[in-house]
Amino acid sequence: MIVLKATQAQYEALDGYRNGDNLLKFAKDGNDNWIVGTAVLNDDAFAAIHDQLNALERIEYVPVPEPQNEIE
Amino acid sequence: MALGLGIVVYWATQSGPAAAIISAFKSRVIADGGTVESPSCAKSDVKFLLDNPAPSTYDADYQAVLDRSTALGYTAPSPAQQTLQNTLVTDLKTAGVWDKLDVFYVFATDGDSNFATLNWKAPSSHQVTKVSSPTFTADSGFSGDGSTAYLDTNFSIANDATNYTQNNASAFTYFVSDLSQTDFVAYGARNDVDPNKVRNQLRMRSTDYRPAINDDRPIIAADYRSNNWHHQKRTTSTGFTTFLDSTSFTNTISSKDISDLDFSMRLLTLHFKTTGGTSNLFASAEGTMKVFGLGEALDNTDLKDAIDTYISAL
Repeated sequence: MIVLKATQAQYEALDGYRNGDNLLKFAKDGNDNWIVGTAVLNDDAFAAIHDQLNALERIEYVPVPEPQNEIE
Repeated sequence: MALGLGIVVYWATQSGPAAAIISAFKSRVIADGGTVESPSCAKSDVKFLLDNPAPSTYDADYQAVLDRSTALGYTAPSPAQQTLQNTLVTDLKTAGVWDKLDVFYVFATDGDSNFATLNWKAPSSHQVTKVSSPTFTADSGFSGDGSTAYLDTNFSIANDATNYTQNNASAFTYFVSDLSQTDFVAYGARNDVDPNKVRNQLRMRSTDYRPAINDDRPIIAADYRSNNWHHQKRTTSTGFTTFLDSTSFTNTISSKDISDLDFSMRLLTLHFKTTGGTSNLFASAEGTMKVFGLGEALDNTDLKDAIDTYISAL
């Protein structure tokens, strides 16, 4: 699955952008990258920042490691 | 057919609900053959209608949801679905469920995605935030994207619950998985900080099922992803019962203090607190959530029947 990766500067510029009850939040992937799903590129709620979102790097999604106490 | 000058002028200056009322009045006059006693009489009739609108036929609590939607400029459901939703509320009230709820979200609606975010139990509070573009499908609900999209209820069990307590609690969802995702969390808030690790979650895997309600993770070796109905109910400190589509089971596991669940319940993911702060754990669930709610321990049959009746009518 392809996701969008933000640099620290891009993260700081975009994270927390809000339009009504829509919010843009990055999450850390398994490689400690700030990522967000590609669905934000087609969401009218984020139209005002689509240019900045389109500038994010496309990378393959890496799941977050399972916490130790979840492992059998 | 000739309407009096007064009514025509009056009608032409109206808009919105007033115009609708006057238009309806005009239609009746036309249907009656165009007989209007006098322009002044017609005008006074219309004024009476405007000053005395027909009272809502909906339950007051459902009407409050519609009113909130109107105030926020959202698109409300179709009239036919409003009737269904009103019935859902009255069914829950008749069953004694409604008053026990803290939050109640109905995502399966033909209103817009904004209407779907409203908390029916208290429409002006704990409205869901759509985070990073979860997909909304009319009459179906919200689904995640397998990575970062989710819903945030902005409802903290520790800080906001009035009915839900440590040993008297229910959490339920109507969730449809296409089984393509082998490991996901439908909803959850989990504190992983010692000394009081506690969670309310529903994690489903192809190999096991991990419900929790004010405890720390029972694991049941079964694949329940094909079930749509999931209801965790705790009435004692020693265990809780999970209700599924047509079966149920009880886990013996002690409850824990819920005062450390002081961060929001999230849907389609797990809100996870560690010593480093809070974040989401696991990719967002790609299945579709139609309904979610929390409250004190609820009668499963009454709750499920009311929601099944609504969902099956869509």
